[in-house]
Amino acid sequence: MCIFDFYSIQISNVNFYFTLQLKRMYRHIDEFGVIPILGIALLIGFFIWISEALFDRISHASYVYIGIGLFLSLQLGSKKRTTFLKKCFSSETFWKVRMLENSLFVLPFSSFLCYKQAFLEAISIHVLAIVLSFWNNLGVRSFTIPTPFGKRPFEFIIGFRNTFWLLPLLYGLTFISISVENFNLGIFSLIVLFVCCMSFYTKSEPLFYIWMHSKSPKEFLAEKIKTALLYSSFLTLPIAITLSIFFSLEELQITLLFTVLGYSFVILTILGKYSNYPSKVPIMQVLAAIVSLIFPPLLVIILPLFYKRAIKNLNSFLTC
Amino acid sequence: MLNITNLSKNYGKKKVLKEIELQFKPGEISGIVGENGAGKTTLFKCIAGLESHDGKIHHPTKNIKNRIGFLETNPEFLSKITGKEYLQLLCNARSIKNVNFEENNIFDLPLQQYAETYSTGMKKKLALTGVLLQQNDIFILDEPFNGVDIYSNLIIKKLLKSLKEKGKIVILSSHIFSTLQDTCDHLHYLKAGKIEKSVRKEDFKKIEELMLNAGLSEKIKNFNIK
Repeated sequence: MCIFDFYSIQISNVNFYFTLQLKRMYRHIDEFGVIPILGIALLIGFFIWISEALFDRISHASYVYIGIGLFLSLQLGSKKRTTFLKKCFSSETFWKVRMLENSLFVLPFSSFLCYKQAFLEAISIHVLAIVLSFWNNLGVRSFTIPTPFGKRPFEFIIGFRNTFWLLPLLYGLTFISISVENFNLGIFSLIVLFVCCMSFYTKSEPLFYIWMHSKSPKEFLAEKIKTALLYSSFLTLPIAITLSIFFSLEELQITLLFTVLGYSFVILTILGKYSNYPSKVPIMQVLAAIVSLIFPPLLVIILPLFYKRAIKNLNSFLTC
Repeated sequence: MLNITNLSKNYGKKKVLKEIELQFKPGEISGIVGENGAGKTTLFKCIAGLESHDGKIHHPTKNIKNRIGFLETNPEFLSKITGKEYLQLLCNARSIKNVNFEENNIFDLPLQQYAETYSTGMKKKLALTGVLLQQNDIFILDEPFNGVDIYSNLIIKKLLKSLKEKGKIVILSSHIFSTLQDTCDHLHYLKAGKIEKSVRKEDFKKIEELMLNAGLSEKIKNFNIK
């Protein structure tokens, strides 16, 4: 009876935490301006679409898929987050929570792998996610990682220090794509790298970091875009150039197209961020970005629209 | 009694804490003082079990980690949870049932608001309320008076007194000597990761003088704005 009581208490503790996490997810979606149930349905739909696209276009996609799932689950092990959990829970419950949340996080990935009949990979992703739950110091380093982006703070400095380990991985994938003559794998690396650069601009900085500039909104945005283009070239051009050299002329055009699109979406992310700062990007703007992802010529209309909004919004922070 | 023996902590090659030897008795309030970067917060995190370390931390209670409450200098909360949900989470995590949160809202905080929207002082007060609700035996409070208003400062002083009367171990840090004089029974001076001196209440002045003599007076005298 005693043992039963002990476990029921443990389960109720953990239950409360996960119910709270679900509530938080609902609130985040709600704040985004979408009915939570609809938002979740949209997220599931988007996840399936992306997963299908990955499996359609890349050979050995299941390994890449496991890598993506594990990389994302790794983010749950940030020092800040786990310190909070350690303060809340007893040490035994803490480990249970961490293992469970990592395992739950990769559940959509393992479900899709099961759907693709990659059962061994589905089990592997869960086992590896549980192993990764023992890594709880993400984001803490006792040394300063040198960055080539020191001259122009701050997005690329922070972003590079957080994702520097991804670079050899993606450059390695590009190398493999050449050695096995799989152009799609190379393009995949290029896209991931551009997405990575875009991610540097997704988090809003404190207002002070905008206010301190003695620039007009136009100058401020121009500086941000110039820096983003210069530094993202620094990271992506080695892949783009390598692919252009080693593959055919037709594939060179595709590489060029994806590079231009990559730059455009980095700019779109910056404009989207500042057109709503300090709020998050609203659903209509996200939809517009998704539509332009499917039909890129729309960028010709969407980019100037976002730019105008960003200038208008920044006026209140930069003009006295 | 909480015994700390030979506690050391390194961050890479940098030694942050060096062979710390300390004892904390129940029913006593101990203060840790030191310059910024001396290692106070790291020491607190090691005692709370939030940082790995060398050396021993011993307390007769089994699994003492689960009876330690830790108040951070700048408490952080999960986004989109209300103050009440945060307190519920803390109580649930320690299997504490039937808590009346409104009654225990000693600082009159707006518990229905998201904790992330609280001011610095309010965040500290919410975190402190949580630590108190968890029914701990050891309280580690990193700069509890920093950022909170005068009224709350007085409440915190009263709380510390009541924790002392209940026989709890309280360890706190502060840079304000008058506050330490009012609240603490013992004071330990941490300098560059080492305990330089430990004194009882009647000798607190000695530590203040020691800090000033340790080059501080000279530094202040020579300080120049270019």
